[in-house]
Amino acid sequence: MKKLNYGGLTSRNKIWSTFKEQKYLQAFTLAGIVFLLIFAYIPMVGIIIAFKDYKLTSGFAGFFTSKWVGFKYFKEFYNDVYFWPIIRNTMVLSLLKLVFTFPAPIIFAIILNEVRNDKVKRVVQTVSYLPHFISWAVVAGLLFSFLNQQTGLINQLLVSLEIVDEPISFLADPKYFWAICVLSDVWKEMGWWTIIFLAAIVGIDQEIYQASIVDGAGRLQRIWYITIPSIKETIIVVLILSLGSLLGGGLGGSNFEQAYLLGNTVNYNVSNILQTYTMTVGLSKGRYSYAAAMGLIQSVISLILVYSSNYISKKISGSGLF
Amino acid sequence: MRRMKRVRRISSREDIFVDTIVYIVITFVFLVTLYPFYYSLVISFNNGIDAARGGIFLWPRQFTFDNYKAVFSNDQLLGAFFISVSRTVIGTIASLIATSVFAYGLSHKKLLFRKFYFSLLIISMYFTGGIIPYFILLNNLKLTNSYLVYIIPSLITAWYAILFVNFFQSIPEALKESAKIDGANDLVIFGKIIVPLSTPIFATIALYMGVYHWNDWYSTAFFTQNKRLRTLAYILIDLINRSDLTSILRGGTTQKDVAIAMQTFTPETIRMATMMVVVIPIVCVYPFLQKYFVKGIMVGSIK
Amino acid sequence: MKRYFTIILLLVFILTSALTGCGKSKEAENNIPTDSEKTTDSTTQQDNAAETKVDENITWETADLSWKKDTSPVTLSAFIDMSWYVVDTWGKDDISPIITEKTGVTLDITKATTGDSSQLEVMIASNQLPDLVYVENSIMFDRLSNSQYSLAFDELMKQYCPEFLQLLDPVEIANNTEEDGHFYSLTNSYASDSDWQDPSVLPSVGSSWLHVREDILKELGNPPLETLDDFMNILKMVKEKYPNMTPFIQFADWEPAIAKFMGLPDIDSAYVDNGKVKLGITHPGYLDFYKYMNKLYREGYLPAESYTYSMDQFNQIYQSGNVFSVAFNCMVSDNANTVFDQTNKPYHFVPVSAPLKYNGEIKYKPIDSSLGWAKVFISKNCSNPKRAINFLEFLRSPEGDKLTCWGVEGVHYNLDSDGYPIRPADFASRTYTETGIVQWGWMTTAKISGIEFVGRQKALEPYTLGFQTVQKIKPYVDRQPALAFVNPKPDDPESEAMAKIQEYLRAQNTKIIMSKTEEEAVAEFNKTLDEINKMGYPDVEKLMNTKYSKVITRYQK
Repeated sequence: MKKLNYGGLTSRNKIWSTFKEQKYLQAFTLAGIVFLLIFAYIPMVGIIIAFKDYKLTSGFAGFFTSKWVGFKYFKEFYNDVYFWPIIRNTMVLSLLKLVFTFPAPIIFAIILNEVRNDKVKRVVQTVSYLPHFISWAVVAGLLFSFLNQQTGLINQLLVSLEIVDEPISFLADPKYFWAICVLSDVWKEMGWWTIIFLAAIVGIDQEIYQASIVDGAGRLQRIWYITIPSIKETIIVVLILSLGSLLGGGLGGSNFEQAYLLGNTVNYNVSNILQTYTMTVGLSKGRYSYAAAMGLIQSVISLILVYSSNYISKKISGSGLF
Repeated sequence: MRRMKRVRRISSREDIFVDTIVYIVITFVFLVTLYPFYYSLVISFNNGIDAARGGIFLWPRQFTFDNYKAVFSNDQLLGAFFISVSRTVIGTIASLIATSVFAYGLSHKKLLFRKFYFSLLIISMYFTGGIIPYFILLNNLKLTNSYLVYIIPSLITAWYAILFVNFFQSIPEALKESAKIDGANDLVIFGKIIVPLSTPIFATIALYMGVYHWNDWYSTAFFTQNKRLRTLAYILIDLINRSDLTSILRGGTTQKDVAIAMQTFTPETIRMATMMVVVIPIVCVYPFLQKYFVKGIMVGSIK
Repeated sequence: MKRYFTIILLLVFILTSALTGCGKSKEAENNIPTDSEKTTDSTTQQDNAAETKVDENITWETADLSWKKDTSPVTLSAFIDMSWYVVDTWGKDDISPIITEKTGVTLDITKATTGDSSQLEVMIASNQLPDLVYVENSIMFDRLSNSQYSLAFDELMKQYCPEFLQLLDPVEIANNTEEDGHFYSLTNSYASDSDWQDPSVLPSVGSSWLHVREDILKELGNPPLETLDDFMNILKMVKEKYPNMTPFIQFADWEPAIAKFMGLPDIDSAYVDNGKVKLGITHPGYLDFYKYMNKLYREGYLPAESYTYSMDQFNQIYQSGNVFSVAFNCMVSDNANTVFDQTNKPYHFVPVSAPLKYNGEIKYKPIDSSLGWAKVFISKNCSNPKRAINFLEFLRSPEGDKLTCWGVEGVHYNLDSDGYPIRPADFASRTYTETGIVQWGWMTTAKISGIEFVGRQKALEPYTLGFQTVQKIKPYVDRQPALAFVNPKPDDPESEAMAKIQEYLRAQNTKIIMSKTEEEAVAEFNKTLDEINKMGYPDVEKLMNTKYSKVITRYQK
């Protein structure tokens, strides 16, 4: 039962006997796999239109009957005037978000765990995840109320405290765009993802902590030597999954909504990203094949990121997603 | 004795340092995350026309209950509330069972074909064929325009399955082995040992799934036409979209102008009031689940 | 014979008015034939119409209308592809039960939730269309205007209501005819040439215009404001005297009023230059426009932030009272003044009284290529095509049009001495979701809805500046319906280039205006023209001209 050789004849019998031994586990898993085959894999036939000249009016049959065009849409995107700006903007925004929004919930979970007053801990935790329920459309409205040049609260404050002479155009000036996106994303989703890390921290056997106290370990030591190593696996899993959804803007997948709602023609050179551009020149103009091709690029990159990060993680830390 | 004293002194200085940082951070987070919610609440209690002028930050300028009256006068609200609650409860329980059982199978490190199964799972997370084939699939399965469209397609979510797998794997293998020696099969082990040890992850994922079910308007919009299947989230998104008029006012003719002028835009205040009505129930569920995150479990006590 | 007929008509009139109790209504219902007449007439008329159009002179009053012949209860499903629509249920307002009473038709309605037509696209691709589809998006017009998804109106009319076909204006049919020679819908709110002569038919209040603060102008000593140069000077004065005030804002997602005053077409739509169709941006006048706008920006009159606002936000900014001039639609002054008056602020916006002159003369000449607004389609899946087309015939008839647009006389309106419907006092206290006024006017004509619009404006005194402005705009409007057909359709190969060009122009427009120097603006403008050529503009232009030459002959007939 150690390493299975899938080729040989003798091992074929062995496989069967192992399979029978695992009949419950196999049944559990296969039920799920069948579900995935139906609900995830069958609809994937839609991907082929990325290589076809699909017209909506040809209906579902058109998925199969429309003309093959090969990599036409990929070439079209590569030759686009905005190709390089889009690649740069999408990458910068995604990486910035990864750098800031990924560690934030981990740090916050550890900090929350250090709160010794149970009531305070509960209240703060409950409040911290409230922004998750506010939609991006409402968040964009809030940002306008606070940051606009004319009536925004922040500008009024900055001017009246004489920190600046002229109100700052936060919403129009491209240099603030990335900061606004990253900060609002951290603010909105930090509390929400904290829950998963808290659950992991709570899963740590309390006896280990008690033993360490007896041994005289300080709080920082306990955080460093017990808490973090104990949740390492969860951190790795979430990190790998975040890398997988990197181009979408991390686990919250907020890139599209942020760029769509906070982007405008003034900050276009930084806010024009893959998802919004696909929307404006693809879907909203009824060009499904183009949109499918753009989606496929993202999917392939995601898959590469997940597999390679999983591989690296296993090499370095010995644990990964699978 | 001397040694003990020294330890305590060091740790108390460290305590103050840690506590200071902790309390500064949580106070900041508390204020920054509570305020927008409070702001929305304030707006929802303000007169609509007055609020459109902006500049309200701390307290309603023209206090009114009208927005809430308008929200509650919606005759679809009660039905939608019932649908939302029932699909959240049924949907969460069903997908919790389906996903965790599936994940338990996968979490077994020596499972035959494990890599293959995992690859199928991962690929399903990142590749989709778009809405059209998906709709046709659901339609052929007779799920469209049915309550079941809220429950069945979301039974297994790949990424929650992975979180489950990750947690199940952290449970000491020895526990399972000893049960096996006692003659328990995998089903029994799952029910008697794994589930009780995994309450934090069950609670976490129940919350994530519950919130998904509560907030999902997409299935309602795309897969149902029956008005009786509408959910609260759908009503909210409908209100938000109704007020987005930029595209409509563009160009156009008199008839269009008339239609627009007459619709007297859904004011932001009503949108906020509706949002409160949608969000508050789900937020209230959280404290009941919270005990599973806040208090640690003793692995020893289950042994 | 004639006398006999008149007597019958009179009798019928008395009878019907006694029965239905709507003796007050003026025109539409006067000449309804009796049941007996209908049955005897209909067969012969139907036969006639199927072969030759015998009676070319029938009117809505004399015609034997098919919708009256079968009013048994029937339910049709319908999808409204407008996420903003205020009604999504049949039978809960004042108007829809009356329509059911008259036609027997009840609608089972679903309304779009997302603003991007994606729900409708799914229905199309999966062949799940309901009986009726009400659409405003031109991409969806193209999707549905074919025999694969929709039933042709001309065929339905020939079969079920031949008189409807005869009652239509041939130009209107030409407007809606597809390349296969059929028409699959009729665009509503269409103003025919004769309708356009009517003073009630006006340009849209969405037309671009410039508004200034009258109170500030007065404080500046009422300097002249007749030309674009005057405007620039005034902005300079405002900037000097009121340093904290924003001199000018332009709504980003709107055709700029200044370009209109310079006589320019929209950057991304077609115009005709010496019989050749071109895209607006190629108009030589755009260089001057960008120089002018760029100067506004460089001098600090036009803040960059103005181009970032959503519509709600834009409204909020000028209504705060801290803005001197606004370029957006015609409603700015009325919207702002309503808020100023409610909050007791001494501010007052006015639209500029005439188009500003450019190079000493009025160049203002807005192109109107609209053929109306939205369309109803009867889908191929329709469960009862006969009742569906008859239902639309009712909506289009003056009776149905007035009912949906104006409401019930005495309840929702009373006609004033000029013949305009005036709303009663309690009307304002009810929402349009409750009354259902206008919402079911799916087949309305520009004239009936125009009269309603004028009537409503009369009641809005003193907030009628927008109304007065569209009246001023009307004589300048250049009607070119043929241009409505020239844009590439979603399935044309040129649509790819067009989609990119439009998006590129949207971004470049702001970039050119916000250049640091005039030289930079000019360079950026020239680069834009080069770039769109590289993106495939020549092909787009060629296609537009081919389409245009095909269509223009249709109008010459």
